[in-house]
Amino acid sequence: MTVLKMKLNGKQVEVEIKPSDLLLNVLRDKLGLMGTKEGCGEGDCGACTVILDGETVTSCITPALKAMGKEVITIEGLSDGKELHPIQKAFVEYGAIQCGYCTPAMILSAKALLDKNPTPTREEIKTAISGNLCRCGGYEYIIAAIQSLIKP
Amino acid sequence: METRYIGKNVDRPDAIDSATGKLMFCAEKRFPDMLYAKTFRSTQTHAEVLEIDVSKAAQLEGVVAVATAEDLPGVNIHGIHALDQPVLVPVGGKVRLPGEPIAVVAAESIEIAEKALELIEVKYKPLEVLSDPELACLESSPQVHDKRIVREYEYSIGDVERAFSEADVVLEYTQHLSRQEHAYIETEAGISFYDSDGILTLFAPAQEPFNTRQQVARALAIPESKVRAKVPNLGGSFGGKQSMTVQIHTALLTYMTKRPVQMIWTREESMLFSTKRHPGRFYYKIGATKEGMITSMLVDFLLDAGAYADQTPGVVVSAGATAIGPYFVPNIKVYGKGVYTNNPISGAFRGYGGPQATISVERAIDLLADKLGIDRVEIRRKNGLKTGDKPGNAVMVLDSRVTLNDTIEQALAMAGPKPMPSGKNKKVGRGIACCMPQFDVSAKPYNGLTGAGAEVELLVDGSVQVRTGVVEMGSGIKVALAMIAAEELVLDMNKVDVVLSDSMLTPKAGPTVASRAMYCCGNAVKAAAIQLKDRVNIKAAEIFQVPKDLIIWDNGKVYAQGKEDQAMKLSELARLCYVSGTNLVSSIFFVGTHAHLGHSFCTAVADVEVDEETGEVEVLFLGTSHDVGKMINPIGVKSQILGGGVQGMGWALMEDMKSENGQIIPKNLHEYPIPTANDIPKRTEIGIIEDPYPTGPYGAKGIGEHTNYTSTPAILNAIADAVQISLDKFPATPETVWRAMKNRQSDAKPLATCPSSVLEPSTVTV
Ligand code: FES
Ligand code: FES
Repeated sequence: MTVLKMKLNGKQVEVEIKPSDLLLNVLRDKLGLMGTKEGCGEGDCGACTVILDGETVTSCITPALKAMGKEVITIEGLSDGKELHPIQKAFVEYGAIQCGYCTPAMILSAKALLDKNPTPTREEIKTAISGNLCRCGGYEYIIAAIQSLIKP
Repeated sequence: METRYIGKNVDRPDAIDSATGKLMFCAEKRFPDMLYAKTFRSTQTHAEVLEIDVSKAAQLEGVVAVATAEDLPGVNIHGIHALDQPVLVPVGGKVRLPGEPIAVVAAESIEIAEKALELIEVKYKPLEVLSDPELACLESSPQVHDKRIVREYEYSIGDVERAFSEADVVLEYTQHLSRQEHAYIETEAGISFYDSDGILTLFAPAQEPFNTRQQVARALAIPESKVRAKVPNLGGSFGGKQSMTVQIHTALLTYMTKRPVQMIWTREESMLFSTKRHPGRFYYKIGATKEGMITSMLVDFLLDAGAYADQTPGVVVSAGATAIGPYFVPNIKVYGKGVYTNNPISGAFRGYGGPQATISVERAIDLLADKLGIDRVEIRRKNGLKTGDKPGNAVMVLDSRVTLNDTIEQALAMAGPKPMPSGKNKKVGRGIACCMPQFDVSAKPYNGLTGAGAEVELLVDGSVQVRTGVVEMGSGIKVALAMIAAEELVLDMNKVDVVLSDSMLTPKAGPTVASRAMYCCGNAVKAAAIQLKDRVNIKAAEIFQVPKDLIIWDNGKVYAQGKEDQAMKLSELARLCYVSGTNLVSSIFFVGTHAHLGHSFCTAVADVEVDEETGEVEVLFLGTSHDVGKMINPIGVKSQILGGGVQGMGWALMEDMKSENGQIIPKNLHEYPIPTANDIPKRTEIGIIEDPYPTGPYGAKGIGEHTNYTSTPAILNAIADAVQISLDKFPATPETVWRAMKNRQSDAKPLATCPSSVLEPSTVTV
């Protein structure tokens, strides 16, 4: 057992883990953050995407220890509980959500992109979310939601 | 008509939950004392099971139960249309495809359950494998079940042979269809437990809870009244989560251990053992006059059911009913069948056989036009079904004003001029594809469908709860039903809640299939809301001393016309109703009045650019025109159209769940790629034709599956147009396209020969 210390959604946390634990399982089963989903467990679908020090990672293949001393943002860290985060709001308004299984991860990919590049082109948006599979919506409204957040 | 919500974009409350990570799926539920379940699966394709030894697994510390067929108290069988599939394959039984469940384990952790699987020993006697559906009916082929054919379809009108002999041109063509994986991002997962009343409760995927309840009760030999099935939020289904997956296994382990049990399939298990879209082939012979009027059509199709019947009986009929396309043809003969093999089980997939037929007929129509030297759009305009036509083999009357041509013109207008190639070795092509998808209207028991029940309850705090048995799988039915109740009761959306798909709480409403939920449950909820309002108005009329029809409902207030200043709160009125004995729960079981299915038209136009050096295809444009009746929540409808279009594009260009000797080849989402954001059409347009359908709720028609019919053939037709290749097999991967271009010259062989079954159809077994 090791103690993983990280900044999670703005708060410092400490959690006991096995060195072999994956970040996804620590988030879901040890910390109860169920917004991060599993769709494949092999790094293919992106449903488990979280932000680690500003970069998106697929948490299903990321050892939890990689987060030691770093900052992790999951979907639970976006809204303050009163107001939706603007990306969340845009996803709802633009019809970017159908079954919602890909959504938390997709929103985090959008956040990581917009944090780095507030005025992405359509191609840059597509590339930024190309690791997140959505089988329901065909991506067009997800792109539209992200584009709506670009300030002229 | 001025509406409050209907026809306006309304945010989905459940989408807000998804966006914040609060939407719970089955894999997210945790109970104290919960056990984790895993399945021991056959590695053999076709084999007799001689011996099953679970003793070592059962002794492993942390294993609480190991169940085999012997532990099943009830009938060891399940199935949707036919009961032919064992819950767990017993000793003396046989496995008919890889991945078949033989034992299930419940343990204190997933790791222990996995370790237990390694300790289970099974001895098999391998049997010869049948993997080619074309050989399924030969006496000499291995027999998978007692019968070889799951279901046949036959339809005939007029005299095709005579019409062929009189035709100016006769075309023959055979289209082969690849197998498509649903590839929903949420794999199958379920959880079961006993509630405080001793009811075995199961949260698991399905497209209706009542079928789960029935199948679980039968397998466990307990009354259906002792089982509660709830379908929580689904992370996609598209037809794929209709059959029994984790349900009976999870319930059995709870039954044995009396503890909560959770089972989550890995992606590999999901790919191995979920149902697929039927692969197969469609042979066409089409006769036409030199002016391009189609005079006759002969169709012979074969669908590979795989190892169990599952939905094949329904899919065969639906494919047969779609096989002629949206055209008026006076002489028709259609024969088709679904056959057993040792391949992956084919089931329902958005369109239910219709997309397979549509791809085939739309490729054939293009080839016919080419042979006649007629424009490919013109031939469709000439033969397209019009209001009042009696379409060939579809059991229906064209009772709406929109015609096929309306959708053709809209799709072409959206497309605009054909784009220019972007480089030297690039070729641009345009394709068009049309169809007339059908949807269930709860008119008569059809393939297990039924009427739709709904309840609307007014609570004494003035809020409203809507309850109905259909399932939300992402298409937005939940918000649409809330909109209908809020519209009728003149309430704010946040005063209305919708509870779906719970066998203990919601009335039976049939499954969310056949693009029926909006039409059937929409009608039921609307009627129930009207009934409730009417009942409450009796009390209001008494209070306000005016006739009932002068009572106005307004945003949670109720008053007599012209006396707004004396308005009463709806909550207060509800309370007065309640204390004076008015039933505040209204209940409707909607049964449609049609003697046939509903229908709509759809046309897609696609532009593609093919790289002649690499065979790579880029979709430049996809525009689809849909005849939707009336959009309840426009953004929901359009988002369905986008998603269905891209799913069809994936099938056309990249998706093929190949199997070899019964074993699937792709086992994960990198070996089976589906479209990513980088693959979508460069430009997409959605065309909507609204002409309210007289019997639909506010004029709405079904739409969910309809979005998945035309993008595949439009893209294939566009590729063929760009580089003149046959595409009788797809997906059109770069390699397939490149090879086809290379073989273009030597490809002078006739396109098809008539399979013998057309000439001697065997007797129909239902
Ligand atoms: S679950 Fe991590 S990429 Fe699919
Ligand atoms: S909304 Fe269902 S997978 Fe994206």
